[in-house]
Amino acid sequence: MRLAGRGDRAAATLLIERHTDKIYAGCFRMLGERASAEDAAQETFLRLWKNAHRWKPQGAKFETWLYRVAMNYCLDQLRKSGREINEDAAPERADPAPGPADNYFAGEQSFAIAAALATLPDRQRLAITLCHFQELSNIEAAAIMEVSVEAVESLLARARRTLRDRLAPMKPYLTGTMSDDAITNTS
Amino acid sequence: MTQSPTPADKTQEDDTRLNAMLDGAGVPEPSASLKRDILAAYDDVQQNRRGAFARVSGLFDRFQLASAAALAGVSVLGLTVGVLTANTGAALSPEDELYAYAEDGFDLAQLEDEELDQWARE
Repeated sequence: MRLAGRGDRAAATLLIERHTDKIYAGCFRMLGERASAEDAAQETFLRLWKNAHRWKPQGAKFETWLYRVAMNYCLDQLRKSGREINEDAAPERADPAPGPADNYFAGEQSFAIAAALATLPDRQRLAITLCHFQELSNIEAAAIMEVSVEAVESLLARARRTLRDRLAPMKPYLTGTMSDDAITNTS
Repeated sequence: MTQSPTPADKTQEDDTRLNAMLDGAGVPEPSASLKRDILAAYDDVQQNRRGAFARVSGLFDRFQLASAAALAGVSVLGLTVGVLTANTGAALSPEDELYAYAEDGFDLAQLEDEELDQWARE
């Protein structure tokens, strides 16, 4: 990070290779759209480049800081677009192209889960994004969200309860237990 | 005899199923240009910073030259004054010294007499 701040392009490239995919994925879980997630990832790195020369290793852990920038940007975007708890929000499908059954299930599952995530309040969505999808610990998520670990646990519990309720009717469909005939009928 | 599942077992089962469903949800691939765009942004920021640094550095260089010139000027002036006043320290007569150090409140006439007497004796 310090090297990138001093103008070392190779160090910057390494940071991009290491962190872009994770940051993009986190932003996608929060925003539900590829284009918005890409914008968010770019904005996060732009803020990183602008502050790289001031980076001090004794401060917050680098990844925590990067996630905090990205997630705060996503929350800002959600607030600006007024999409919080929008039942009609239609997130982008991970794999919109129809194809073999595996792809079909994967695409539908991603779509249904993204739709369910989109209905969660922002902070719950953030908690589940960080702890489940980004596989961060509750302690790390708490540091990113700047709340206590207990608050993260509470947000997670509520988010999971809501997701369970919303995804319950889709269980047989999402777990791929429907017959091929049923798929044909629904498509 | 098999026991029926408890509510805790049911919750755990639901959690496991939910985790499996969440794990199965993919993320669409980002566009191929995303990393290139991020690197291009890095290059822009670095270029701007170099430009700003060059401007500040130029300003600093100019000020550095100005201060060096001012210091040299003061030195030359000091040297000139030193040379011009080098011979002004001629020996003073006791009378001059007396007047030089006499202050208000002294009886100058008496001091003068005493000093002159002393000088005459020597």
